[in-house]
Amino acid sequence: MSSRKSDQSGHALGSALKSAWLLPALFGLWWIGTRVENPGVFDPYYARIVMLIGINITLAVSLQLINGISGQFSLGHAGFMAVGAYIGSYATTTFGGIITPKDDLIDFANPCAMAWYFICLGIVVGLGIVVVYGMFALIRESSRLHASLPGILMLLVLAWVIFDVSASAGNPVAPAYFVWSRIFGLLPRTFDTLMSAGLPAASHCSAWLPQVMLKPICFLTALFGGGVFAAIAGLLVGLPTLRLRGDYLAIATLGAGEIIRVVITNSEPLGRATGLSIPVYANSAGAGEAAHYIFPWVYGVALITTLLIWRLKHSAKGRAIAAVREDEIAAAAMGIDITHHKVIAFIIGAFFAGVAGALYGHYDGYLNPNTFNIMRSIELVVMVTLGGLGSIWGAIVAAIVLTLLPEVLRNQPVFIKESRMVIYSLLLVLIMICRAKRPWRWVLRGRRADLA
Amino acid sequence: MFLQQLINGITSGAIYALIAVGYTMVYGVLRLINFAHGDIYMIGAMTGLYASRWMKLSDEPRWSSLLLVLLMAMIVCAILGALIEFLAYRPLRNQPRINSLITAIGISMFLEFGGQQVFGATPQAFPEMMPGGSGTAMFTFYGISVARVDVLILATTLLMMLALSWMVMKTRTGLALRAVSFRFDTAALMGININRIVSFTFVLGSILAAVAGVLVAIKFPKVDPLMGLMPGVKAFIAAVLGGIGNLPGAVAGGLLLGLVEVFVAGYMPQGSQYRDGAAFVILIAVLLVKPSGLLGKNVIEKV
Repeated sequence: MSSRKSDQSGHALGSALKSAWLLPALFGLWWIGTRVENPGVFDPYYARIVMLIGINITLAVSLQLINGISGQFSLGHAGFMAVGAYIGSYATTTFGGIITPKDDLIDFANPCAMAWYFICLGIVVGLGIVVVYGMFALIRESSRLHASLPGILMLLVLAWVIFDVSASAGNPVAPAYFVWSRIFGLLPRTFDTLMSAGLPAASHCSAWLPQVMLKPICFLTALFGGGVFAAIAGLLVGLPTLRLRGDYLAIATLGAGEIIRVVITNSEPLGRATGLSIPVYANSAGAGEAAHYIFPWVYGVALITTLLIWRLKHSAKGRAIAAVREDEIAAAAMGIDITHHKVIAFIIGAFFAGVAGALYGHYDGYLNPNTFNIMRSIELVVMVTLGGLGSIWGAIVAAIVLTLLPEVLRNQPVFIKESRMVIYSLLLVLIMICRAKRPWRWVLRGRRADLA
Repeated sequence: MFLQQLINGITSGAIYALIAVGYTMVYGVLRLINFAHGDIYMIGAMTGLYASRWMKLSDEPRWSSLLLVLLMAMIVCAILGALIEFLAYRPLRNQPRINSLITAIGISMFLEFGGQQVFGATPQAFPEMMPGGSGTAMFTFYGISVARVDVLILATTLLMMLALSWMVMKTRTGLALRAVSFRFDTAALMGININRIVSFTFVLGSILAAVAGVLVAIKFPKVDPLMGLMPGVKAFIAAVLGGIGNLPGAVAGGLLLGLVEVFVAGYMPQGSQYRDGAAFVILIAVLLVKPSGLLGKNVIEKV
């Protein structure tokens, strides 16, 4: 408590800058994304990079919760991502067709469809409560203006994007209906494409509201289903392995991630080693167009993940988690349930990894178990470490930079292009060695932490 | 059938043990998971390939040429191991360990992708190095045949392990190594040249990995730049299984891992697909029951 106080009074301007300096970057990313709306400005290749950046931000921030904030060294994040990707995509491919694409009516005679409908509704209501609570908690818990500023700004950004994206549909509607259509306006368009419904983009506002909501609900369910199953996997992995420490935990989580991958590779309904195709783009022009529909989702999820984990870090629970990180024995002596807090952090991290995985699956349209191998986990750990352990903004910056770096190298002359991964790995080593000398402490800030 | 599997398991376990010893020694001294170790094993196999091509040794397999190839692989890997330690790990020695870990990952990626640039990404055939053919049966008993290469692997592994234990237990350098591994700072205060010992550890581990690389390349005559990834991870698991930092533990863990993998592949329905997962399952199982590994000592943390 006292450290926070001194933090705020001592470096009020500094911490205001610290929490705010990345908002323009986020804002810029959102802006770039809205340019994806105009075909011709962004080709599919750049759209893909922008998508991957968004997904990697979610992954890196959620891993930051586990590795940086709670201090548990997890090397199995790709495994949770795989669970989310496969479960989410499987839900879409298997159950997505229950809600018929033509007339949006659910078949109430079908108990499965009914159950699906109520699950969807429940999840959306739950999500709404979580988001609204998160937003309010964000502003309520911030005692000073500069601390609540990012929250207010983010709300503004969110509102702006929703308005901007749905305004392009150009529908004059009744005022009472206006807000609803703004909020859910972007959702049906997104999901119409995802479900290959082929509805004209502008027609959604004339539809009856719950019907409009049905398809985005279906997509939300896919995302949340992926997240929930990943969280369950996180619980199953976390409960036994979190008793281990340091390197042992790292290798055990690495093993857990690999086990998940091997199980998927051998599972018949998930397509075995050949992979799972998600026929979401049957009617769309291709990945470039798909990017434009799924873009708000990707960055919305990245934003919500960042917000929630950021608030968690500064909440009472977050302080307890940090206490466990700093000294387990002292934390236990203060009456903190160590296992509980470790597992909580692990589950939340796994949940968002699962959501990111589901987004990845729906964006890419094809899943292969080898996408989620050890290298993927390691890539994420590198992002978190390079950004600075414990620093959420650092994780975001590192996710952006490390996703862009290979692509930037790819667009160079042949020699560099051919050996881009060699250069990437050399740069990684050089950065780590130079970081030891700390000339750019001010860029990559974060806690100096040890494994144990 | 059972005996055949047993022999296969012991052979692959011996290879794991050879690599695992390198992991466990480096971990014992620096508390660092040297992720690049599996790629040093790959470089060993690659060196064997290019050495035999360069000297045209494969035209007529001879024991002397096999020895020469092994020696060259050992020398190249020893230099590489020492170089990696000097350039990448030494500047970070007083840094948080996670930084060294990321550096190790970077070095590993560098060797893999650099290997793809230098050697090409496609698998290359390794020439027949053993006189009389490596695959032919050396002897048969009770209806099972033991290939000559298996005998070579077991004999070489045994020899290397004996040499290693002599080196670690009987020489002054070995004594210093054990001291450094026991207490890093105290050993330095006792007048041990820490840098020399750490380099020596990397050299020893790399030599063993090089031997493993060439032996595996003789048994499965196909080498490619990514061949070190999976064996590297599994050898590390073997080291953890046995209790990391513990030399007999690494050997025991390697043998256990090799046997479990072979039996899972042989006796479980569709077992060959779960072969890779089996290693991780027993890893987690052992860690849960005995977090310090099979032969590891329980370290009590003082407050």
